[in-house]
Amino acid sequence: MTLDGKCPSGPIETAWDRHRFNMKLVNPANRRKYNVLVVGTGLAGAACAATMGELGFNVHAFCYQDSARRAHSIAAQGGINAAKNYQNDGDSIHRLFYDTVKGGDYRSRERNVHRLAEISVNIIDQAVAQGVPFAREYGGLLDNRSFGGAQVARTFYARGQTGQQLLLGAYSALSRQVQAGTVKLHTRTEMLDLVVIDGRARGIITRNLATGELESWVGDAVVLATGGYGNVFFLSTNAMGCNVTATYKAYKKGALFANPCYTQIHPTCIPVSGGYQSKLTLMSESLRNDGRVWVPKSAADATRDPNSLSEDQRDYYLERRYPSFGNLVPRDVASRNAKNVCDEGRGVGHEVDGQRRAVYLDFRDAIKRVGKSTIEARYGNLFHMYTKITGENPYETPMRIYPAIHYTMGGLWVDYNLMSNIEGLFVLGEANFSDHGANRLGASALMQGLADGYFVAPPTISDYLARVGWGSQINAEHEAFKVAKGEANDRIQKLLNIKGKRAVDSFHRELGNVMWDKCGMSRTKEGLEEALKRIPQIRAEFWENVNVPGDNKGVNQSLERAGRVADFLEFGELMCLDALERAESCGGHFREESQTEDGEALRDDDNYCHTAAWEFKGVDTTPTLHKEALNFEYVKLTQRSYK
Amino acid sequence: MSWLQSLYASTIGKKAVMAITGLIIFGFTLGHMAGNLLAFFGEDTFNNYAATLKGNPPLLWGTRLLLLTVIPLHFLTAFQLIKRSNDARPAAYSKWQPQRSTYASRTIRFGGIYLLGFIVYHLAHYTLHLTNPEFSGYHDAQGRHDAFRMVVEGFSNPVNVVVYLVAMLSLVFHLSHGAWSMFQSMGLNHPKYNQLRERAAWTLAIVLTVGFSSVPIAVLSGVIHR
Amino acid sequence: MKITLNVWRQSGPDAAGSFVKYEVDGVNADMSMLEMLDVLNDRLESKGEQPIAFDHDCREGICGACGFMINGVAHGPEKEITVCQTHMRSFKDGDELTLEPWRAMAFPVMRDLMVDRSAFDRIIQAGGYVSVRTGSAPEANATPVIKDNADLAFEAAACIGCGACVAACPNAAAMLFTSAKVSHLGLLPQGQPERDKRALDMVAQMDKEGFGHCTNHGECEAVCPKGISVNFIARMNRDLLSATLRSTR
Repeated sequence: MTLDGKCPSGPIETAWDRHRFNMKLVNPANRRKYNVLVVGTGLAGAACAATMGELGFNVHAFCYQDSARRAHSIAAQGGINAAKNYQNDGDSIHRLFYDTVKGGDYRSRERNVHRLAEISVNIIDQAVAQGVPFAREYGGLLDNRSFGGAQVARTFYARGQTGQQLLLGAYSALSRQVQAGTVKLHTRTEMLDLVVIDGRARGIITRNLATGELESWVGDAVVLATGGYGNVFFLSTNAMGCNVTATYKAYKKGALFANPCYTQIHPTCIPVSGGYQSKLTLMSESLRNDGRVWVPKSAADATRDPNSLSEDQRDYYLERRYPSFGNLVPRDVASRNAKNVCDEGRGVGHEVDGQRRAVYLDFRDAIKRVGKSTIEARYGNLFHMYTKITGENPYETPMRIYPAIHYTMGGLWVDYNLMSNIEGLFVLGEANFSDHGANRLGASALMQGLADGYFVAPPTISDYLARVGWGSQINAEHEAFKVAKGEANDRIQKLLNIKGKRAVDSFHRELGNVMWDKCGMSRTKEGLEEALKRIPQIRAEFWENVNVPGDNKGVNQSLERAGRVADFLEFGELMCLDALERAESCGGHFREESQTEDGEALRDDDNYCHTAAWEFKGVDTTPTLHKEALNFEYVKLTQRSYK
Repeated sequence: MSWLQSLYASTIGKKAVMAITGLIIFGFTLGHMAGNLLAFFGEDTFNNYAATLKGNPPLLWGTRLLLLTVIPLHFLTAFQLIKRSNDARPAAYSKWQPQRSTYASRTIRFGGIYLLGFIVYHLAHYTLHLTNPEFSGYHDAQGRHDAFRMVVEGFSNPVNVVVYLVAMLSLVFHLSHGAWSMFQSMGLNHPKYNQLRERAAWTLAIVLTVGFSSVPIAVLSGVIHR
Repeated sequence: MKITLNVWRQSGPDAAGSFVKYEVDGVNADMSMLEMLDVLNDRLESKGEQPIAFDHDCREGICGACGFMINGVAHGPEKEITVCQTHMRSFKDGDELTLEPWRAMAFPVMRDLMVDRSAFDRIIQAGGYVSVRTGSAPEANATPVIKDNADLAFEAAACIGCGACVAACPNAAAMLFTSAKVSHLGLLPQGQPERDKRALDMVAQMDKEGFGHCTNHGECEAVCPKGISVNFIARMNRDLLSATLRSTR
């Protein structure tokens, strides 16, 4: 299989415009004859479903939550980037494009990223018109801030709830189409399988989480906007329900999974406090603007009151190692350093499984310098949240933080049209692999989700539909639907009939521990090989010893989780395999074998300047690797340095 | 007028009806109280006041008709809303702890029901003289209806005074929440004046209650006498 | 810590429910309320018993999925917080907690502590949006917005749609929820063209769903995890009354 990204050639600045002109259109009178199935109602899914509905297509939108408004895009705090240059500080589309390619450590497609930067400005216009209450200046115009170490202030924000406000904007657009009758919304509905007929995605099988009923949905195109797979680690900043099932099932039906090993670790999360921990909470990265990161110099001081430690008993390790960037080094660098000092035994806080995994983020000096009230004005809501969760007062005791899985850059492989290698299967937002390379910049996830959903997918889906035409005879009685539904039902019955001794979550935690240890912040050949042995064993035990109580009639949350964990137990293996195969370090993927003398990530552009896309060959069979070479015409490859 | 019907059909419309009718009743009670206080100026002033009212049928019947519309409407709407509230939560909580609501707000409907009973009794007592037919035969030296004697005799009965005072106590609670609630239901809300709104509600409720209560207490304690 | 729970168990929408008592020992003060339930559910599941069903997702207080009554208070004893962020340090060893689902006719119980809040979605569908097609938006800075209004609109927009306002209201009214959306869009210039229509349509839908009326108790504001003010209810009342007088309907 040769992977063709189908990127338009010619000057990059006009590529998307030219491409759009070359796309086919569907006559307005014919649009309602097409069924488009959109799975997921986060930024990408809701925006796409709403826009396709506005265009007049017949849309079905699905989400597992009880309301479309609850998708996990809602939890994004920081903001959304756009190359508006309202601050007159030298920003431009080209600069946003350049920063994103570089930030992704040169592992993304240039033309996709340029399009993203172009569209970024339209997103802000759209959101403001919908009534998204972005922060404003006294003059009534939009405010911006600099985010994630960017040298320009291009981030639009709505306090610490930008994701929520943008999602509510997309949800309101979706609600408008539901009222207009163009979109049918199916909440508490989980996709269990993709139906492919003659090489085209033709529908999905879903389970109604309220009644347990399995249903077949026929579509002319299927859109997956189902988010990332960070929950393979069990503990992550993702919502509890986030899962890989939809994309993984598409992978099992032939869609290629690209770069699954690219995961992003966020350095400032509230640490694990005990074995019962169910999720991790992110604290905005902006805290590092004023907080100083440190651990005791000596492991013996780890349990002492931090305020009792004198200056020379403290190790401000980021300031020591990176004098010019200090506490503001990029996410991956900050995260790995925190892991290293904790591995040395100098971690602080609660002991969990025999290790203390936290470092201090100290505002003592900042409070001395600018006063408590200024710090309160800047971070009051974050400090409040920290206090709620930990019961400690960060104005007096240093915060404890530790990195956590936050975002996954990998996803289903898509071409420039966001269509996977399966015809008619479109993949949007975090679910696809396309725009962030090996590392995502802060405030870029919201940008990509909305760009895909509002502006990229609607014309490319229309183009696809115009090409394939309408009036196909396929309905839910087709053999392929019956088979897929039968398989979904068999699997549910199988899970329900094991009646073993262990709860679903115990397997998920066990998998998560393996993934975090071996495929987390830093990875080695030996560790990954070990994980690849261990995961099939956990999987085997799962299928023999899990206990899923109840039946398939009505709400059964154990059954929901069991299905998702079963997929993670297969997917984890694919991630480790990809991480093993990529014997270089890049972005969020750090292979200990590939580092500079100073311990920084070292890329190997000669051997790994490609996208690794995996083709499913069977559960216990090694998948086939396909490579899509990455060509850089506009951005020069350089080694990142933050010294 | 279908817009009026649909307004009345809505919960917010009904609350506006409660507010407007409440305001009218409040205005009437204020005037009523001022009139009652004339009892402190003696028999002549009081009977003169009563006679003046009776001698002005447009004013008297205008007020009576207005109240005969507004008071039943206030109660009818309230009963409809209470039913709606009960329907909205068919299964009660086994445990419920109030967080912000006040005694006044939670008892407003019970106070209202007491006041309804009170109004019926009050009309039967002093307006229609059904409880005390002899009141109709009281005349003063100038041949006017001796309303002063009626009031003094009426309130010489401690049971009556208790009934009236309990009603006034209900009124203070009913109004303290009702007046504030009226502003809220009509959307009269501004952060700058919101505190004033609550104070005004309490002040007026207390003024009314003290004013109304003073007459029966004064009679019973002998301050007002024939 | 050891905590005794009285949990409402109901096997389905049409089934009768009742309280079931559970003793949970080994509770850690740093656990969240939901993590404590996870621990209990893990034990139940391992024994093949049905775990307690409750809605939850983000577990950081923003998605609005979680929520139930803890000892008669929506989202429990701490202010401006959802149950997922309520930690066990808010309780003492030996405490007895009653966990009960939101109760309202418009929020039918689906199972245990899980209720159907789709009525909220239908209220938004009735008019909780600005009708703007993708791609038709004018330049974002073409319309300045008075900062105070933008900030106030944000405060209203912070609503997470959890339903605590309905749960806590003695009348099971959805006034705070509906007014937050009506006010959010009504305060912004972008929301003006549809302001009257929005207020009329959303209130009509709210009433149709069977929610109660507002008696201005303020219980909703007290339990709202985002601290949304009842001032927005007054604003909606004003909008509805003036829309009724002004509009041609």
